[in-house]
Amino acid sequence: MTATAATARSLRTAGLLGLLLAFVAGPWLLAQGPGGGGYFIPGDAKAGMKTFFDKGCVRCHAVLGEGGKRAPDLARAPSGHLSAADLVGAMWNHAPQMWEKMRQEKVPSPAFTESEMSNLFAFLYSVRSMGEPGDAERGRQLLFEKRCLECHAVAGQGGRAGPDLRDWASFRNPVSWIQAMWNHAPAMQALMRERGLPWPEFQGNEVADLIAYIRTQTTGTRRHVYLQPASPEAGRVLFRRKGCAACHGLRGTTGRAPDLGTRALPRTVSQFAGLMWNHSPAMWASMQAANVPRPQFSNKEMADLIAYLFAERYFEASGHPQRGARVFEVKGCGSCHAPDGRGAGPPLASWQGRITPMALATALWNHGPVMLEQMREQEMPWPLFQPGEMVDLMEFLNRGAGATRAQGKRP
Amino acid sequence: MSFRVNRRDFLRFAGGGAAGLAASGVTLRGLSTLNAALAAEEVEVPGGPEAWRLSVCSLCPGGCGLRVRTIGKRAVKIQGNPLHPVNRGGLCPRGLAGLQVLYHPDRLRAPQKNVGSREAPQWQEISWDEAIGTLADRLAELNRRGQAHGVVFVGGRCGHQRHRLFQRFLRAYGSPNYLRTPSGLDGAQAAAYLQQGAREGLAYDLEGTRYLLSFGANFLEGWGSPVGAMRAFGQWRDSAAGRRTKFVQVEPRFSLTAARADEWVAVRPGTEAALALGLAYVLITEGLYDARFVSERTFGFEDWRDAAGRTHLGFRSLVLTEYRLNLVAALTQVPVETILRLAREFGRSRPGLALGGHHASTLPGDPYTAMAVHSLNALMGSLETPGGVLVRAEFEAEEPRPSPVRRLPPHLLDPDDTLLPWADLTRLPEAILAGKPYAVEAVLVHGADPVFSLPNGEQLALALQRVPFVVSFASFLDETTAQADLILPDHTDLEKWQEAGSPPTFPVPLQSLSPPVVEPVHQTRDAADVVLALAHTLGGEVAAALPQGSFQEFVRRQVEEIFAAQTGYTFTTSLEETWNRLLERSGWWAPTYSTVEQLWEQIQERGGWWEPNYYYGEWKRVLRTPSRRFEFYSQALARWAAQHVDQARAAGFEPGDDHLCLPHQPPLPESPAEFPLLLLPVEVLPLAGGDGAHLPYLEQIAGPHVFEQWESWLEINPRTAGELGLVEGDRVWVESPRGRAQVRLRLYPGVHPAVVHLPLGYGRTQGSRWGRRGVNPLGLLESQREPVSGHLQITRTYVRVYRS
Repeated sequence: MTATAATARSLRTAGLLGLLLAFVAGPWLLAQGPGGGGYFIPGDAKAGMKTFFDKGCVRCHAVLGEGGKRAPDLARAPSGHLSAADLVGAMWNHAPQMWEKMRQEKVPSPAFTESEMSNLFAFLYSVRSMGEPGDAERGRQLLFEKRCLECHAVAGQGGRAGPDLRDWASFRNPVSWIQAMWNHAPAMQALMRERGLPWPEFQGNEVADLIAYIRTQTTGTRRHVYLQPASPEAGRVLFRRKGCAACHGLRGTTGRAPDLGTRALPRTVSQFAGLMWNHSPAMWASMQAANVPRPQFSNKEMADLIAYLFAERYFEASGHPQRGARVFEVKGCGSCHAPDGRGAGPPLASWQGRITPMALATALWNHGPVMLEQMREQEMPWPLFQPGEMVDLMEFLNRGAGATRAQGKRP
Repeated sequence: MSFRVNRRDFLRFAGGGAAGLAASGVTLRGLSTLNAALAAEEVEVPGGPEAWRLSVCSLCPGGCGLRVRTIGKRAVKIQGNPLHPVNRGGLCPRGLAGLQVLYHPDRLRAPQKNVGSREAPQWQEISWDEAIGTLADRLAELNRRGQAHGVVFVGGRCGHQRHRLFQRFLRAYGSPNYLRTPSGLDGAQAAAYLQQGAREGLAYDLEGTRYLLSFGANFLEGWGSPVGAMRAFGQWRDSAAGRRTKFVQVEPRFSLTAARADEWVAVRPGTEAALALGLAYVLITEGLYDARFVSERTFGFEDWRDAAGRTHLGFRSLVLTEYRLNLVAALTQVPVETILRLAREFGRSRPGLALGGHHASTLPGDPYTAMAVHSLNALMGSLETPGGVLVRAEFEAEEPRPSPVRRLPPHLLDPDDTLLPWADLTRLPEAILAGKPYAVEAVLVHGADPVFSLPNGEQLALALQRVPFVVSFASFLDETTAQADLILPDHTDLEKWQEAGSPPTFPVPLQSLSPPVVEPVHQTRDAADVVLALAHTLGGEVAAALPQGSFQEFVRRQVEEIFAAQTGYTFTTSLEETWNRLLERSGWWAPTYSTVEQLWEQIQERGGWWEPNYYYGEWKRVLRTPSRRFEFYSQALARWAAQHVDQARAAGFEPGDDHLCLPHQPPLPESPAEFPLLLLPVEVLPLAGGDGAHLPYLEQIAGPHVFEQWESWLEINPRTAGELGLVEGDRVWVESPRGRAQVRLRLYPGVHPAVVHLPLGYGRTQGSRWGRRGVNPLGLLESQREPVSGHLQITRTYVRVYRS
């Protein structure tokens, strides 16, 4: 077992299997209070939002459109999924520009404790996963393009084979849509086959766009329906009980179907809904071939399951120490962090087993400006990290990289 | 225009007035009056433990949250509840005056019955048992005689739940005649109905807008929620957030709101519609309007052909042919260059917002002006967008249906037969006097003083003389209460379970709720509890419809309904609110309670509950016209005209005249030679809604811009005064065809030379010693019904002014 994986798993042992998807867990835990029977999470998303405001991040950055406009909206950019390690990488890569901009605008650089950084990460991860209402106009076009109206009506206009989608206008959460689509997919598939209709596929935010349009069809007579905080712990149990684990791997474990913990899976819940829909016929065919019954989900069960999958994806499966060693070398980290302590920066051997994304992010943010200054003096470029490299580097450092290199061994 | 006032001038006036508050002889006179009154009262020196309790202000429709400091059993200080979404800790002077309402020496202290006559009433205190018994006997007798429908309940300023309770009582008793007092927002409400088909009223995202064009909406003084508007105003100039909203006030008078604007446009009185359409002319001709929105979401922009093949005039043709800039400039007295510049600024600033159709809190503007202004919002695509115009969403619990379902007789005022589908209280006097469609047997009034505040209040006073039984729930003797047979004095705000729904112009559902702050000072009772007791005394269907033993139980039921709805949050900090909003937008709801009991307790600890998110673009909800679009050409007006040919003709519209259905400038009256000046009433914040003159706190700050307080004053342009040979401080007669009144003259450069202004709220003849001063301008004004909407208009009265 690798060290990063070990870190993750030790956290899980302490309850990380109950690592709540931050956007679900934050308020729930706050309501429960300490010892209130909640789950352990590395950070409190709502406290992270307070940090985001208190430390002044909001002056430049927005989240889901709320906040400053001078820097990217951190809930939207970059567009793909970012694990905790990826968040560190993104922060590292953009740090010099941020510091420069802050220097120009005379914005003081606030210091973070590791706890504050954990909260901030929980907040950012959660708002990035939540997604936001889509583009209703685009959704209207999609109804035609995807030929939904051949079976469904919207406000009385369209087909009669399926329910009028306006009945769904009050459902605010994409998970409700995933649940309905999953449960009814075989019937829909059969009907579409009968009518010679192709199975439509949804890319990017198209499901969010579609839902956004359907929501606008409300007449205001029915109240909005939300979902309450989900339980990743319950989702973990469901993942096995409903048979998902029989086919799908998770975070590096092997299975007949795709690994649901990989970075390649989409960022938001509604994007995930689109993916499930797109693959529904293939999944169903595989399940029939393997004589696996198709599980049905209630709204809450689907929310729990998705909370579990998103919580698991917060951490990388594990880094690769050999690749991490190469990252350490190629990026020139050893030039400053020499194992014998003669570099400008401290040796990193003492960090063995203690590196977490939050610890690294805290150190980076608090000491980064000094590092940057020193690197400029030495005319060294600020190294940039590609996705995955940071987690490899952390794995390498957690294994006592400094020590092994001091002994002249490759890890 | 030949007259101008800049901000410096105004500040000089206002600053001088403020200094006067501290040092002028007028103030000392006021204080000595107050002291003389209080000397007769035994004032308890506060003692005992200190506590802070929450409540809700009902001194205007804004419904701000209050935080009240108590020492022992006395309330000693009021400030804003920082968690309340409407005011976030802020408060206006009216809210601060709540203490003087509570401890006012002239309050009605116990139930009373009139043992004299209506003309010469003699009030005798009675017990609550006798009072409720008398009313119950009277209502039971009417019911026995099959005349229950002849009971009218006038509901004024009170919370949403009390309105619900009174309405439910009346329906269960057998009368459809629940009437609410008119609001200054009724003009905009008319536009919302005629152009959007929406009955809920409009809301405005003031905080989010980048350009506000206000046509006389005095939103810093008494429009909608003044404190909420002031909060938005504060955020427009947040340089730290890099934002600057331009605010333009179009108004004949340099009001406090105009003084705080970036630009004041002194328009000729009554020509706001023409100016709005002149702006539309520029937006259309220069292509600055949102062509896509107009194409996809509006009806009647272009000329159009109906099913019979007849071509109708569209908004574009109307504006381009009839509102060319030279014509508009001549009519409005606003230069062409100004119109061009304003239109270009407005057209290039997104989101922009136009407000209008309002004279004062209780006096709606004319619907065509409101339609013209609202059409600017449609042209700019500012409907259902952040920073634009929204349609209010209220949390409505389901009303229990009586069992068996009871069929009520038609409404006394038959709103189905009028253009706007809501009953207009100003029609009540005519209905009473005519005895049609049936006789009014009893009138119950709560939270209102329509005899004083309606433009036709005098007519109502005459009509009430014909009503066999009149009941008032007032806390103070007022003009309407003076007509009553029975007075059941209500608690004041701090003595009762206090609540308020979402205030006017606020877009999302909200329910403020707080328990009493102090014990009742006098032998008064919460009118809601009285009505519940009445229901139980009457028994039968009425008791079944209202089984709750107290208003506390009634609002507890509402909380249970909120809990069942599984939505919204109890009031909280701005930061947590942001978090909740982010969650809700993504479909998650994470309440801080898991049981009804927890919700009930949290609501009391925090002051209420609300839904923080507005969902934009719910077109099916917000556009309910026949075309399902915003209608520049109102089909509701077309339908009304087809059914009321004679009325339309009397209004100047021959059958087939499309102008009736389109926004347009109503004709202006000619001033008669003997009455050369237009008299317009004005509303000042301390006396907003015509209420507050009985409170010394508010009297002291009524007119600082003209150094005036405790008395009515007449504002006049110095040049006009000079032409009349009048000087500052003269006692003058203001004479209209209806009568004359004596007031002190105040020269104010911010007044249009052809106009004089009198403040609303003065001139009571009943009640508090401090309220019985000055002149009620409504007594001088001639009210005329706007021929199409039927709204009473009071902006067409000309007067002469001369030294007394």
